[in-house]
Amino acid sequence: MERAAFLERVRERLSGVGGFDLPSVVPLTPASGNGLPPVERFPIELAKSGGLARVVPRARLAEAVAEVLGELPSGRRVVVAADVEPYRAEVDAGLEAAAAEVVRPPREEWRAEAATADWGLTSARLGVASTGSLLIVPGPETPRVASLLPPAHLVILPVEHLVPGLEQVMPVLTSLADASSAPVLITGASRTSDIEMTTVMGVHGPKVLRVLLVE
Amino acid sequence: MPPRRASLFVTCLVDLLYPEVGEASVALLEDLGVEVDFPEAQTCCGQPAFNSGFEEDARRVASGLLDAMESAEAVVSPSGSCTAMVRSHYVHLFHGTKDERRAEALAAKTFELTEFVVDVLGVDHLPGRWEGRVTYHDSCHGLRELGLTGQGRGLLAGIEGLELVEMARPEMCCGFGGTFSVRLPEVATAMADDKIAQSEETGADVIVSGDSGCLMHLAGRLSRTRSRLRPMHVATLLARARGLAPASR
Amino acid sequence: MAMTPDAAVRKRFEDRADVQLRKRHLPLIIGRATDTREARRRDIFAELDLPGLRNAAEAVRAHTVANLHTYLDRFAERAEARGTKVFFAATAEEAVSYVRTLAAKRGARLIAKAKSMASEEIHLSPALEADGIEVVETDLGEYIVQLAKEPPSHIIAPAVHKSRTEIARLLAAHHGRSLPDDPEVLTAFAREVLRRTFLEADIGISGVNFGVAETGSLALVTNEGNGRMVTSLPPVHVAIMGMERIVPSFEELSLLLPMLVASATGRPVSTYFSFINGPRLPDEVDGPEEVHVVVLDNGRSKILGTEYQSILHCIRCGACQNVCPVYRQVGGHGYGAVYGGPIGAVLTPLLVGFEKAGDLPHASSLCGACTEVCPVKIPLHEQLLALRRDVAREQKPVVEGLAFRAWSTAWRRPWGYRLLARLARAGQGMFVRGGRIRKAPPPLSRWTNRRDLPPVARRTFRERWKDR
Repeated sequence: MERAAFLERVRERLSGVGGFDLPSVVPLTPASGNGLPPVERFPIELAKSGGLARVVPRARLAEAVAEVLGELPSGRRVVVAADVEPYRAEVDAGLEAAAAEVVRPPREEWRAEAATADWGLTSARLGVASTGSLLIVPGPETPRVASLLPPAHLVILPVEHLVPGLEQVMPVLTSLADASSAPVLITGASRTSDIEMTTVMGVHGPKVLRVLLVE
Repeated sequence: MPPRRASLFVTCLVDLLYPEVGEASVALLEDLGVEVDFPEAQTCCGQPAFNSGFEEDARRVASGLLDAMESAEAVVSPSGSCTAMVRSHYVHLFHGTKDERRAEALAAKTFELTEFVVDVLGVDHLPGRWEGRVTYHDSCHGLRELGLTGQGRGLLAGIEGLELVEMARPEMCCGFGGTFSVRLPEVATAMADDKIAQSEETGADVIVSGDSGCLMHLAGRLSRTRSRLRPMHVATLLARARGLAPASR
Repeated sequence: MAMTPDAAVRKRFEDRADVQLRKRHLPLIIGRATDTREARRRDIFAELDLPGLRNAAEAVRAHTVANLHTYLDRFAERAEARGTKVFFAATAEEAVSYVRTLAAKRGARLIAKAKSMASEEIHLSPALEADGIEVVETDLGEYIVQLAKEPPSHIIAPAVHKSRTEIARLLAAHHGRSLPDDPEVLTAFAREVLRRTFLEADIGISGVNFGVAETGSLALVTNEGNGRMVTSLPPVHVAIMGMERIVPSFEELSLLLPMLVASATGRPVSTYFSFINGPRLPDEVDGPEEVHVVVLDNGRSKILGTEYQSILHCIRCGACQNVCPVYRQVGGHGYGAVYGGPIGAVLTPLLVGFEKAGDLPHASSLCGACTEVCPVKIPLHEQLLALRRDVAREQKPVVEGLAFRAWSTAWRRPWGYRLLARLARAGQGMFVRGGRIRKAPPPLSRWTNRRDLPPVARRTFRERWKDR
């Protein structure tokens, strides 16, 4: 059906319907910020969704990267997104210390490399303290697959990028409408409860999510 | 000053099938100093037709109740469901008819029994004695249309020897639902069995409710399945505990 | 699909429910799952101003739906400006035909599908399969019911009616290997087999939780990550969106997303909130070349402007299903339609007509638990009641109509009432045994087949009152 005809039909049906106003006051939601400092709250909330976050000073970032990779028995093939370039030196040192195989794929090979990697390493635009969520914004330096295909995802996020609650993400999403095709808010590990309500991590997306909050 | 006079809306179920619940209600109210009368022109609130979609038939019967209760100061009923019909639905049922005002007036002065005792008379403690374990079923319309949660339980709490044990889901429907219980008998029975299983798990001797519809449905299933659990209306239990009614039927 | 919802919906609810009731394990499995979800819902809202939140959420939905033409127009304009193709489908047929044509143009052989109630509603998969295309559901629960050749039985937990043993057998049989009934192992296995689908699919099809008018964006809520997969990996993404799923701007999503997820699962957010702004931008590394949105009417506009308009406020959280005592006994399949439980009992007759689904409004005891939990305050049980009235007016059931007329004629006056009581008491003698009726003639047999019936008292209350 033509858009105009479709909308005209809707308009006609609604012609006698009174106007309702958008709410002037919205109480705190389950995803709102509270009084706790974001840097304290973020790790607590993320843990509830099966992810782990810790705060590290920049001087110890390399060490922390090596530790995270060492904590898990998984393989050490790491695809690295260009959005962590600001931390290039620390990342490379850490990955080397962990004896990781580092892959920085060219554009056209990202998908194939990510599909076989053990870890994806990316940054994030924002962290949401109230929920432990990360706003990942795909773009030239941030392939979607880096945070999607590998079974484990490591995120390096400067603490300044933390916001208190979901409310603060919305203006950012609005401003991203023309700048990225698919921003995503990721909270913890991929999970399902479809079999008898038993929660299982890692159904399609990463089973492991680690966040290093850099001071 | 709370009203000292009340008209009993006994409901058709209590009148025809469970008259002792009506007697217990009268005994309780009189014991609290309320002068009770029974307008004999009353029959039924009209809910069976209303819930089946036959509003005109519901109105025909309901208008009889408007007439019967015209001069009542307050109307008290031992049923959350029938009270909710009058209070929540009459205004809609009579909307745009000549009886609209009368429906509003009746809705404003009609109360469920435990609600009347606790919220209107301001009596939240009824001393008495009754030995046994009791579990309480929140009848849906009393709970959700009238907002009754603590009134019945609060009154039972004053009874010596009575132990109140909550079932897992006291607020879950028992499956009566008026004509629903006949329209979908197998579903209704499965719902009753769920409720009964929850009640039996508490180890209670008696399941108490403020609605004879729920109790008729549960009683019918309890006796059919030879359960040891007994159904009892909250009015009956309170009257017995206060020595106002014979100890057994 | 073995059972097309339309054919099933024509059967009576009672027949389908009775089939479901014979599955003795059903209430146990469904009860456990729905009780858990309901308990979590209560917990998360316990410390918050839930009445205030519900008022606000209702206001957002009421405002949007009342101005739907404006917001839909804006949504389409912005989405198209960003390169998304927007198609307005008045009917299921138009929607299906659009997707089939697109699939043919792209030469699609394999389609990866994320959970979408709207695509279930228009029976999209069977149509594509008839064209020789393999369509794979990728939400684990949807995948399970697809293998079982069943429709989903819960809005957010499609396989809630299946035990782990049944699921293990299904997956094992389909893939010709043996599997233990361990959810961890079964999930890992599904991850492996579905990963191939994501990477090889020609088209990804998803639903839409919210369309954002201000930016022409789509919001998708998933926990598994399959929503992100089907909208990121295949070269074409098609989203099927019920036309009422719009919000004015992102700002409203900071309320509606948590209300949806918390009402559904008791968590503040799901694992993935994907916001699709359009196809891959020129400088981006990955993402689909084409994004299509099919805006679906399929009976919805008929509901606008009626007393049922607020049913279009629904955000599909499934909370009403979790508390419904009827749903608990018969599961989603009892309703024989895409949407089961209270939301389905209201929506289905409005979408497909009273002739096919006029009995669904009676599939409720009117307990009101659904209305109490609905995060956008849809008066579900009141709408069920209103539908019963409208169905009776339209269908004019003869026997029932005569019965209620006879009843109201007698009971409108106390003497008629007393007369009937006396007649009943005289007639019941032959049926009463030991103070109860165990077997009564029709229609009362519908009661006494399973339950005892109390006889009319030897002396009614009003007779006793006279003798006081």
